[in-house]
Amino acid sequence: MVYYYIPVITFYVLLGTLAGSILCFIPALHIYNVAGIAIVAWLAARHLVPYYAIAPFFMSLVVAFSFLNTIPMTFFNTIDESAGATLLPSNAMVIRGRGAEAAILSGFGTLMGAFLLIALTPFFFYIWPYLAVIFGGHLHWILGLVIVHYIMSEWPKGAGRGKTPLKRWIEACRNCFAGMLTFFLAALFGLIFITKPILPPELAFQNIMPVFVGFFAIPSIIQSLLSKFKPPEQYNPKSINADWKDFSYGLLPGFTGGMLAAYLPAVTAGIGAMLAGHITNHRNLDRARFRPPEEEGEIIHLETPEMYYRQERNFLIAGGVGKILYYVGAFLLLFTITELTPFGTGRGGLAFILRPVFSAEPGDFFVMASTIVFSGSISFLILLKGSDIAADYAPRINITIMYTIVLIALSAIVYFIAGGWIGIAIMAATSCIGMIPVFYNCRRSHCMAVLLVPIALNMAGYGENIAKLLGLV
Amino acid sequence: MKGLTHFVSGVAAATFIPQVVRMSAAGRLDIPGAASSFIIVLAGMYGIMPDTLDFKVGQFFDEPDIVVDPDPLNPNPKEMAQKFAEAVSRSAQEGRMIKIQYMPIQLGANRWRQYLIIFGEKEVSVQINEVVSTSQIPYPGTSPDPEKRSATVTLSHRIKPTSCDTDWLNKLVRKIRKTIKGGEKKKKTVKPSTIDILSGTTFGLKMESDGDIYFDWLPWHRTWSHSYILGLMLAAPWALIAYLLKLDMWWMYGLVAFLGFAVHITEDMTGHIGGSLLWPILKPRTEGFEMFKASDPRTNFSIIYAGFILIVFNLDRFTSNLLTGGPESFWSWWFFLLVFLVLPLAVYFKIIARISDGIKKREAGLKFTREEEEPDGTGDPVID
Repeated sequence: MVYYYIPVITFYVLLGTLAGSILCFIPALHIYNVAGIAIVAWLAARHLVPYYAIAPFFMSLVVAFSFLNTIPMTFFNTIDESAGATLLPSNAMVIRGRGAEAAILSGFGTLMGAFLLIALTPFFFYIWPYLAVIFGGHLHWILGLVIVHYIMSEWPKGAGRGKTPLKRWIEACRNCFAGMLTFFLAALFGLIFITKPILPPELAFQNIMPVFVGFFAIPSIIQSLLSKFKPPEQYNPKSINADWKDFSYGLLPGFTGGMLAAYLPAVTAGIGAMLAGHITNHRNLDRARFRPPEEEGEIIHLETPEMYYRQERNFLIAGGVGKILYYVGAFLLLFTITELTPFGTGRGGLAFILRPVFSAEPGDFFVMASTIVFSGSISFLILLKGSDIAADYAPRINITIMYTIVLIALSAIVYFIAGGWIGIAIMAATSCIGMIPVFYNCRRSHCMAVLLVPIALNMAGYGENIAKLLGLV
Repeated sequence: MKGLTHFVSGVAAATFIPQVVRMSAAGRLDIPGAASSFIIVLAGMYGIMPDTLDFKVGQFFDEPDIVVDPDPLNPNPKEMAQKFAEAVSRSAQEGRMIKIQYMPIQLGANRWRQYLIIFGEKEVSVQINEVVSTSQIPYPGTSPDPEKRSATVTLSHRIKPTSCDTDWLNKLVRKIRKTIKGGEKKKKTVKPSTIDILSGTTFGLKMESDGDIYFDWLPWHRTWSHSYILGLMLAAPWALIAYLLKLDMWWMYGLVAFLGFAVHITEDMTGHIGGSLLWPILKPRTEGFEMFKASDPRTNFSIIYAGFILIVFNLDRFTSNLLTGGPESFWSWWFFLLVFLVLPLAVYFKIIARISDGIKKREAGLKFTREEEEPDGTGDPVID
């Protein structure tokens, strides 16, 4: 690399970090929507950005986003799909006035994930390409497995009250039925949308934006408006309540979920975290115990082991690790250029968006790794300060006004960037489907069927047949 | 075992059939027989099917004789214990299994009132505990008033955790278990049950030939749904559909589905509850070999990991031939399995042994008893 590139790249990394830090405060926006907005901005000023700075700029944008979107998600309950994995514990902590601690714990997880990405370099170059090639020809049924497990593993949330067995069944399984309906409608929408793109070709990279905003952002905002959630008074912690064990316990689920999401198309961090939770949960190693009474008639105490209390912290840390592995790792894999994988193994929207304007070359991986460390460190420092500021201001913000402004802003973004009234119509249609999980308490990630099903079918080569069957072609 | 464990095991088992792996490979690859088939998905689907049938269907259609649905604002432990005593008396009088269902006490989206049912030989106590979250963590300061907290009621008959009226299959399982594990301690009392989140629990009570009442935990679980015969019946339609669609090797679809189902039932036999292996020919539930606890994370994690490695191993040796050197290369198979399966699991068990030692040291001298085992398939409460 020519040495004068370094200050230029550094400048664009700082710019990307700044852009990511600002854009992440548009609540409930998915990272790839943000990348889409950045691409629009870049297209307008592409003659100003040198070719070799494109990838570092976008990498730092994603790195900053993965650190700092923790703040609006934690304090204002605005989640994108992937944040579902960390929603409940951070919400619970905000209600107890510990929002800053929740954000910092998640941030520590993200920082750990950033260093993990670097530490995994030998794995990415010597083992990962083999796995990518071995699984490469089998991805359609692997996605099929994800779909089947995802639907079948949603257990009834009702207790099963009712006079007849049928009524009990319906009462208990309401969330499962709603989940299946959401999945089916999202899949059908995805098949139609991918077969017959409504937006013009020049907006192809923003095609998915109104869909994602409708499925995830709008329902989150409506839910927050309906729930009238207002953060209580928060305190600024001088330390966080976590030790090395918490971080080591959080590493495995974070790695597993993050890598699943980074590699498998249309599998997001939310789905990855759900699977990783099933795979790696070791809570039962230290199960609840009964302490026999010392005197007859005394209360039998149920001992809740420390491992139960750790869950909240582990969840946030693992969520942070998984988030950066998904957001950043999926893009970083684009740069793992080996003999087996000459075009890298990058996945995700950002790799897809950038492919027409940029191609990775051998050696870029280390520029990207340095970008992650540099941008990650700055982002983490911003997060520390940002959490303090958010803790001070969150209880004083009028949430209803804020969400109303966000709703208008998102609609405006969709209108101006993603197809005008057609984009708004798509957003409205997907919002209706996205509201089903809000009202019936089923998994929000069922909406990801919009990509999962068409991608699995297209990978297997059945996409066209199904489209014919549905009368779409 | 957990749902995902069965799921991965079913898939791993299916990948041992070379034709299945080759059929599943993308048609664009230069592999003989590659047809982009989704056949392996059947193994996963049927691997989780028995528990899906139980927890999503069976439990709601299995009618309890007595339902205890405590008042969320004012739960009465005396009444709750009396209901159990009534179930014991009715079982003795009517000579059939009486099922009693205890419902959870939900107080909010993430708030549940926990209660304990503690069984003695001839008495039952109900104790109301703190409010807990969906992660089963108690909220401090929510324990009820001491006078409203617990009650004990005497039972008309003794209750016991092990049945004495067993069929030939159960006797055979007990014999094999004794051979594998050596002598067994006789279980004297029924373990306590904690009821808090999501659905409640059901107990079956049945008078036996020795005059005592056999206590059957979750009498609807692992009965008809955990039968090899039902597995065959449910797998057969897939073979028929494939035949009607004129697919190559149509019978393989039924075989793969059955394989997933059978792996699940067989894995469950390593636990405590077992299954009704030959339902509807032999209806009673057969005990398991009691080798592992269904919720033991060591068993679940190691099986899932082993399943993943075996899937990679099989996909590679039947399609890509990158790592394992192909079916002829005997040594490279062993090398692969040693490096990626045996060594990582050895390290994992070493780490877990250290953590477990720490837990044991903490427990030493405290004379704790463990909580009742979680029912298989439900998994840990997953927040989503």
